[in-house]
Amino acid sequence: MKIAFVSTINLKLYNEYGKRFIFEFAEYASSEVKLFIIFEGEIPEELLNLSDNIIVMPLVNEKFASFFQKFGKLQEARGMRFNYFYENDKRMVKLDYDYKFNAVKFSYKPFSILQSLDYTPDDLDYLIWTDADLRCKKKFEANDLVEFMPENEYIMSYLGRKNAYSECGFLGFNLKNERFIRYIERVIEIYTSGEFFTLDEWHDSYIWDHVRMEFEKNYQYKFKNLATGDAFEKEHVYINTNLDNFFDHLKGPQRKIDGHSTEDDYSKMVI
Amino acid sequence: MQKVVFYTQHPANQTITQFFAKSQNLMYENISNYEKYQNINFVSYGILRGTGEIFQNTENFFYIDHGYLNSSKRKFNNNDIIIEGFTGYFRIVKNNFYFNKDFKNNDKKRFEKLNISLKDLNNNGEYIVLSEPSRHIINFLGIHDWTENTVNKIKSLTDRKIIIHNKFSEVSLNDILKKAYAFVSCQSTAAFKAIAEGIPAYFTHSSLKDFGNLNNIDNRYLNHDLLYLAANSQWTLKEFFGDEFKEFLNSLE
Repeated sequence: MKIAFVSTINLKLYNEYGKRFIFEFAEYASSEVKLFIIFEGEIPEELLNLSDNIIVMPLVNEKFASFFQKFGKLQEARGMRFNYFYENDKRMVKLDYDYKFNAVKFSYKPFSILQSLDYTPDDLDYLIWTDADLRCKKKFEANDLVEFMPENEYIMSYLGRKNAYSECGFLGFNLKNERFIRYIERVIEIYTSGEFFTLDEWHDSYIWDHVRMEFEKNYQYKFKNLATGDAFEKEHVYINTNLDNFFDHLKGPQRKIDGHSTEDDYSKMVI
Repeated sequence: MQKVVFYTQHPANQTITQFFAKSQNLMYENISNYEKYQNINFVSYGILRGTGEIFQNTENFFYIDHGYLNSSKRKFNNNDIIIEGFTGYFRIVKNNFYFNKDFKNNDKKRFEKLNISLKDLNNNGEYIVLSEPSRHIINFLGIHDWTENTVNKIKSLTDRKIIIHNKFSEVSLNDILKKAYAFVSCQSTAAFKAIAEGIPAYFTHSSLKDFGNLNNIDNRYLNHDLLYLAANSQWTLKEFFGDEFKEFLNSLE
């Protein structure tokens, strides 16, 4: 079984936490598990020669360029909310930021996944998206990750959460199921066409979920939710699955500073 | 002989060389460390930022550059070449920059995958298109009088009108090929397109002139074999990981 990971990072976040992940991956992943890093900005030289199984390349994707040209400079697509109100009969506007509407910031993930498909080996069975705020806890090889992969008729494995959008810091794609590409292309279409403006939230987790439900309902596509049992109701779903045996996901700013998740994360429920 | 892949500071070079080195488990080094190595096959992409001098002064090398057909899109901005993606084909040439002269694999399968239709010989050709090498290539190969010498050579062989074309020409290559009788270049990859368009191509560079010798300019022949050989000598970065690519590299040794 052949597995590769893909992730994306810019230089600022590389220095904050991405470097730690990539260096740990070099140390803990067996040589047959590749990691493709789609890097925004000048690639640090230390990454080029870090490991034979880590390939770093710039984000160069026509569809991303088209999306960015259309929406990249639009403040609304960058999470700015224009809230109008009246004060002393004068119409006023208050600008607020809400990450749930930052389509641009969270677009790098789907476009990086799309790009990676042009470069990963043809004989790959599964492609794992991982956020770069990951810690590797122990050595792993491809076979250790089988349980997290979407086998046979499944298109993608994901971390679903009860009453909340899925945790999309981990997505596993079944490259041997030829229908998976239609799912990814539909996600990309929502970005490039501007259809995301019609959705209730515009960040990638919401869009992955939206298209997943669309495909489950309309085309009977199957997706594998890794969050079963109690995990499904946990806020920090990632570490409440068996992924916790190998990885820690530093979700949110505090965990990134601390360098680890907390004991509370194993019990805290989705509100 | 051990292959060592060297990278420069250019992101295109870094991307392409990484795929080459890491798909083949080869040693990967900054070009500034070249002097540390002896008796190696030098491998890199392009002729800028120090690679060109090394390629010209070493006997054993693998040269990587844009492919002959369906290569990645690129833009020319002053003296800089900007690659708009890496999904196209890259040529791999052993001990030469342009063509594996002694490469024998003319199987059509890889060419057929390119979806390039081969047109019949253009019998309405009026003029000879002389495709000038870029300034980089002229300097690199030291062929400063190439245009004048080649025009004189063509004039000694035929009275046909000659139109000089280069990357700054206002008329596109596609348009100029429509009424071309022949396409003459030093080593241009545009010649491969010309052949597919039904225009016989002739070369002056030693690695290619056996596939289209200028002396035969009036003996109009579409050398499709050259296209098949070219298709078997160019690879995508994705294909670098496959067994077929490994076999190709071994065949060049």
